[in-house]
Amino acid sequence: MKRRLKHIASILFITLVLVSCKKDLTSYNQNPDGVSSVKPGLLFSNALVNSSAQDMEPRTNYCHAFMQYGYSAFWSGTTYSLSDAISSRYWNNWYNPVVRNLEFILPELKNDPSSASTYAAVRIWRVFVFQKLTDFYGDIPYSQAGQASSMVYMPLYDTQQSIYADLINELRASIVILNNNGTQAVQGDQFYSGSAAGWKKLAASLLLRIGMRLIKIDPAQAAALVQEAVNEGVMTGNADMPVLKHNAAVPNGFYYNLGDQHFFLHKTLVTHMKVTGDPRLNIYGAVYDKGANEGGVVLSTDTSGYTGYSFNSADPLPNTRVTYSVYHPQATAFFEFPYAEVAFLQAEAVLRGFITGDANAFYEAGITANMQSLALLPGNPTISAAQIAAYLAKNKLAGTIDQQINLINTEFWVAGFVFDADEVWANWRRTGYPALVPNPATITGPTSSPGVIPRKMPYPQSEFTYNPVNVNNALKAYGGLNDFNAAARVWWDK
Amino acid sequence: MKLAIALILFLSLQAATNAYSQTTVTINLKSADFKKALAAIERQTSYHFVYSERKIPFNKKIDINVDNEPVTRVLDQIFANSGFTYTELQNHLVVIFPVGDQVKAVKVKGKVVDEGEKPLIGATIKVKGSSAGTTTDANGGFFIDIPDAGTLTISYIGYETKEITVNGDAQLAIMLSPSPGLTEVIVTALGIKKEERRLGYSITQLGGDEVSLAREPTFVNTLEGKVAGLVVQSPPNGPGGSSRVILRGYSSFGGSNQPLYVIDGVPINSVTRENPDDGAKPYGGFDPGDGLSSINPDDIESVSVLKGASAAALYGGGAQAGVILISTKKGLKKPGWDVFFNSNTVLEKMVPYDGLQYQYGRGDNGRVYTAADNITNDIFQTGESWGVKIQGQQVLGADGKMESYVAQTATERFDKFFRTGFTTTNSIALSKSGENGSTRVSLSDTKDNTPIPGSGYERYNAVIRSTQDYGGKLHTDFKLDASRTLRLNIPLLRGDDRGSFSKYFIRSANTTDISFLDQKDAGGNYLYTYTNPYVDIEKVKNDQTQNRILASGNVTYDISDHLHANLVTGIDWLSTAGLFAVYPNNKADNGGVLQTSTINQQRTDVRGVLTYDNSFHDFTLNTFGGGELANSTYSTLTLSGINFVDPTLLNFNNVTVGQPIQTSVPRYKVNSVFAEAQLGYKNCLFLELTGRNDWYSSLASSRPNFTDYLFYPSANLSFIFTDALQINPAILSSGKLRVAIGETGSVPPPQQTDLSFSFTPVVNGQPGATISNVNYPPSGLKPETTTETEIGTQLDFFGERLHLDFAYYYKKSNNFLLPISLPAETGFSGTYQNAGSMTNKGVELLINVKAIKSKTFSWDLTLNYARNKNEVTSLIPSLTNGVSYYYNIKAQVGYPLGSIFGVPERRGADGQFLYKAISTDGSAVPNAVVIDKGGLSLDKNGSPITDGNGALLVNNNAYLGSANPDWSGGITNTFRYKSFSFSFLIDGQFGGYVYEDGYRWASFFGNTIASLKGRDGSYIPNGLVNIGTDAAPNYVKNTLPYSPYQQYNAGGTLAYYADEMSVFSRTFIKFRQVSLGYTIPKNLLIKSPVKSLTISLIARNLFFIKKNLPIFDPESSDSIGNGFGYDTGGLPTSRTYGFNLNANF
Repeated sequence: MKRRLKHIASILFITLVLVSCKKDLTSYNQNPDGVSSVKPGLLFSNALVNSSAQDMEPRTNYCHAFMQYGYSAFWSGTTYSLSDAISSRYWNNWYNPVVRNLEFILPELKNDPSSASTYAAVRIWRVFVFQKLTDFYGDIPYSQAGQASSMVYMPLYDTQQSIYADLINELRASIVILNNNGTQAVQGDQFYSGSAAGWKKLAASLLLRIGMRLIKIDPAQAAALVQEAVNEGVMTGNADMPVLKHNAAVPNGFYYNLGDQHFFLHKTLVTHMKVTGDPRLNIYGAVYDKGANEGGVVLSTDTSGYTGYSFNSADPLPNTRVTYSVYHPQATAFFEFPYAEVAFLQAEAVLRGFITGDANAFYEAGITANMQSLALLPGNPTISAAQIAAYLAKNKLAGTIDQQINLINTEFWVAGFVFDADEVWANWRRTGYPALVPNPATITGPTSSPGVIPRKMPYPQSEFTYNPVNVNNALKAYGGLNDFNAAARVWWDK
Repeated sequence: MKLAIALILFLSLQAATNAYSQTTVTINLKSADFKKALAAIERQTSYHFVYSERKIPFNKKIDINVDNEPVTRVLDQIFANSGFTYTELQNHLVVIFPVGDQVKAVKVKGKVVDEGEKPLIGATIKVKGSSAGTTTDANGGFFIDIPDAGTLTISYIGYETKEITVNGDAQLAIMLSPSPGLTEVIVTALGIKKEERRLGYSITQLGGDEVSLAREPTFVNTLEGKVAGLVVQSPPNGPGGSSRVILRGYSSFGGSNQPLYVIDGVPINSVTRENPDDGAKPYGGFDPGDGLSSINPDDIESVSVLKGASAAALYGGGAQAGVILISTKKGLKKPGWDVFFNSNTVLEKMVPYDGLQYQYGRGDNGRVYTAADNITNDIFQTGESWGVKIQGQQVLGADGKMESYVAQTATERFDKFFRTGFTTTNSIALSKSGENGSTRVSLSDTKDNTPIPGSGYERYNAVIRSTQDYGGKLHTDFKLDASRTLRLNIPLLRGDDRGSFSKYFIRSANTTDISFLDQKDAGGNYLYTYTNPYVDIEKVKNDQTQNRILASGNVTYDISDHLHANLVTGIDWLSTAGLFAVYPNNKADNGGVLQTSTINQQRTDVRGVLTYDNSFHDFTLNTFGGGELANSTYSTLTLSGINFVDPTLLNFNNVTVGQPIQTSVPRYKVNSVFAEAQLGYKNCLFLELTGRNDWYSSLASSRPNFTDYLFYPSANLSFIFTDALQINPAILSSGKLRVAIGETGSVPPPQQTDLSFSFTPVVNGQPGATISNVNYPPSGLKPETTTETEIGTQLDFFGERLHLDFAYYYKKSNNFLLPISLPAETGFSGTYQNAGSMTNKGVELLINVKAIKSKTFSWDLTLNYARNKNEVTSLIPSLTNGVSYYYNIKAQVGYPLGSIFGVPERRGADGQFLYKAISTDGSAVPNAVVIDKGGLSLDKNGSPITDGNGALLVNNNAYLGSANPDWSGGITNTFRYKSFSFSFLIDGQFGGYVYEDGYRWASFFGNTIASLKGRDGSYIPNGLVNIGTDAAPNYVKNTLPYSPYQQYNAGGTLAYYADEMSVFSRTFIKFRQVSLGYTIPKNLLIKSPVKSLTISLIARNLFFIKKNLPIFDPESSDSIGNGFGYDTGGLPTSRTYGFNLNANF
């Protein structure tokens, strides 16, 4: 009998082992190469980095070409021809992984009082990213984006109008949170060393940017938002601007796009800067013997010899390329939202009567700040106070209101060089300045209009495969046009 | 694993205490009957009892309470005053008889032989009424002491059991006749052996000689054509390459469709790694092998193929694609030493490609190259065969010199390039048996110098297996198989520009001598690198070294005659080191590439089973239940670097650019419990029920709503209607009906249910992290399941002269787990979903005819046939466009899985080609036609359907055929005359298509016979031609000549080439195998130490009786997974001739 018991015991033992093993199945299924949970701040830090670490090809290939900053034979943007691989890249790079990480951490932070300021910062950055996405593509998935966790696999598209309304609400709510939690550090902060005050200025500046964006579609709301933003306190100097300090491990996204031989400065930019005597020109570009990837070296930084690329084939060949030593290094700091833009927007707002103040002071502050900000770049290219003063003396804000708005936004254009070409494209669509002459030799797609600078980025082709119903519905707002057609304009650009 | 060791130790210690307590017992029984008391003693000791039931007083109850008493004293106590006494014979056999009776022990000596008077070795001799007995030795002889007038039962598997009553000392000659069928013992799921009659499902068992005589490095390849419903495709991927084994059609969309391989009760790793796609994986293009070739065919005793879900249901998940059970050899159960020696030598010759043209030679667009052509351009070195008619004229050669214009046939080029392959295998096995067990040790080495220069295969095996009985109750069986497999310079299959073997023959001009490519400069660099097979030999190194340990332990303890406990543990440990290197002077990787990879795979299983068998009157009950723990890990580590400093050194210090290290470590566990009960009635009706519950780590998650288990039931019924209805055995000797239903599944891909994060580099002093899942892990995933119903019958006519086995099955597979692409705005690239279902239905037929059967001559004929029809029945809406596996191979609803889709040739209502008018000289006026591409939709009247503007609706994604065969079969004929045997196998696969991309290139280079049609410009197709465009079609009667150059090449643009031109029927009939054997008669060996000696001549893959695919082998495929059916020009088929010597000392 004793033996029998032993046998039974051994069988029971096996059974018990089986049952107890069930518990460790869960941990066994976690990726042994991965980490099963991380602090939200780490994901936020990554989202901030990825906002400018991803390939910048839509900016170089399209925005730089549209805004006549530069030219390359390799750029489809130069001739306004459509390349889905390039036009879809912001959609793919920002939704996944940036929006994914932001949407993942929001619910984790929502009910954690000790992370209130971080929660606000994440919401502010989400506004920053989504505004860029909607300004680029128009109506986009917003309320249902990044919701794979709720099994939303084919998100609905929201109208730009409703997205803007929500972005405004988000900024207001975030500002309230930051006002109440001003002493809390923002976790994973790449810009302000955790300072809630810095994020509040960024939020207010975004509200200013959004407000000014609405001047065509809703001037009254534009005025109110700009006033509200200024009351909350926008950025007041370069120290307030969010700058991402890249390094070799996580290079500035332009690193992937400016290394090749193909970035010549455009004649429009070179000519303008020569005329205005702009000391930034020989920082932006230099005369090279050949492309950087071919071991090109600088031959000259004497701007008088600079020749930009011209649409007119009778013009001399270009010799001026973007300065690789400044803009190409992996560690080039990225200006996410230059303070100069805040100043220029305020200058214009004063002229439009949205706020009170000295338009000229804002104008000069914008130019000065932008010239000074270049010292943050590799090699610390410095423009002296005397050079700045000389430039300001030569390029005074004067003339009719419209002429002044032209001047301000042309300065906005010059200041946005390299980093903020997508914002400059949006600003150009908003104001019509600077006045650019489109490339006459454009390629016409099935529905593109020839000789017109495009005003909306088409939807990615992958949407028509993976989210076909929603993208086709959204496309109706643009007359079914998914091409570079002048008739396809975003909501605020009517 | 620790657990397994602990369990083994635990049971071993128990065993030890039992094994040596043979003569004393501890019993406490109250009012028990005789039988119970005796049974108690039998359980604890090695004593057996014999008595006549008539003479034992049943009603007498016994009270007994002894502690560690010698058995004899206990017996004295039991029989005191009972009127009975006992006597002890040899081997603890105790005879009980009434006092006064005389019991005399008699000595019986005997010999057991079969009908041919050949000794039956290992036949069981038992004393009736007891479990005492012995087995026959190597000469069929036995010796036993039994009580006088006792009865001996003589049995041997596959033979009718005989009973002989012995009076007095006797010398017996016992001849056993084969049993009339259904008594064969078959190894079934979990290694349980069952008589064939008890099986309600289809199962095929083959002997080890089927895989060891006419051998291939991977044993499973030799099963091709031998088992109905088993399709083996062994693409010519080099020795040790993967085999594609499909049982009853596809069972899964995304997972493996390869069966589970179980060796001696332990599942092993047999991962078929999908052939990597060149486009996605930079250094792909060879078959990494599935590891199955490490098994030495000489060690295989038998192979059981569990085809259906009912047969395999006890394996639950992982058995979705069927199970192949391999039993390896044990030591013989006979005294003394035995030595087996087998030597096998095989010569291998590549069979030159057929279907190439030799009429037009090197040149372009109907002219030979001139100096004006840029002959330094790579492609013109070897050139295309679009030149002029070959007439021995002098033309400008590839090296810029004038040469004779003479075709180089494939045979000539093969002779120059390939060598004769030579494989030798030597195996030696030693078997020694003692009183309580046996040991077998086997050593084997295989060395294969393949026909491809520089390529080779080596395998070394060392196996030790020991079986022991401890006191008749505890049985152990331990095995260790250590192997080392080397695959040297595994051929590159697909033509990327590193050069592959097959590429040159189809992508070069037919007048360019192959030795032209074998030219080097002073620095040892090849002058020409385009499609150069010599570059692949010398400048590419692609080696794999695999070390493997397969170990298993099997411990059985007989708790009683009816109750047995069994514990099986096993481990399969595999470590594969890979080296891939490309030296500079190679078109694609000019700077040099060095890549090393290490793959470690481990799989452990522990299984405990309790078996209970009993019979009550007309009923038998066979049950078992138990649990299993399975654990599998797989880790890979890849290091690589490019651009060598020294072009000759393979060393990581020598690379100038290092690539990121790649690792992956998928792992999973499955915990299971299972049980089976089989109820038999009158040995002719059996109902079996099984159930298994698997808990998967792959479906476990810390997140809510995950169900991590699944239950797999099965039921089957076997009805021996000939026995039940007492049908005249002279005509229908035996007949069985089978009905079965069962469910199996597959283990889902691991590490898919939880979000996982990875750290990202520090920026600005801030660390970062990101979600690392590419596919979003949703809740509610279910494992894939396959439910199969089968009915079948097995009939033996005329005393087994005609054997017939038929099965019909219908299987439905559900909940396919597939990665689904998601739009980027979801935040993820994809997710896993239960996304589809499919069905397979088919029939299988096996016919065996013993056509002639006499003492000196026999003729056996075996025919098998299997038909399977697969259909994808549903896919979720986001997969409306189907699932793409590999280029043109897809799964789409309404079509079989693995169907070919692509651009069709354009045909009209009458099925005739529609042509397209083109201009070949740049002018606006068409001057030639080609067959148009893009399918048209035709209305009822046969007119093409157009859109509102008159433009043709063109279908460029048409179904072009299924890659699966409609049916397959084989015929084996075996003749025996005295000591000679002669056998041959013809097999084939019928229906099914292949997308032969290699053919497209052969056509592009003007090398196919099809490219000859119309070369001289005289062929004017009689049909309609579109002289407009698809947007504004205008069909008129054709008057223009056909241009094959435009059709297949079009100036290098392939502008008019339709996918359908690459699609061919896969149908083939192959003269697969022939063997001639001679067994030296025993009487010639009497004075030698040799017990038996057999010499055989074997040839395999002799020729195709029928083949529809030009140039290539219809079994070639880039992908051996679900992308099977797309080939980029496989290696040529090889033919082997061999010699086998088998000796027993």
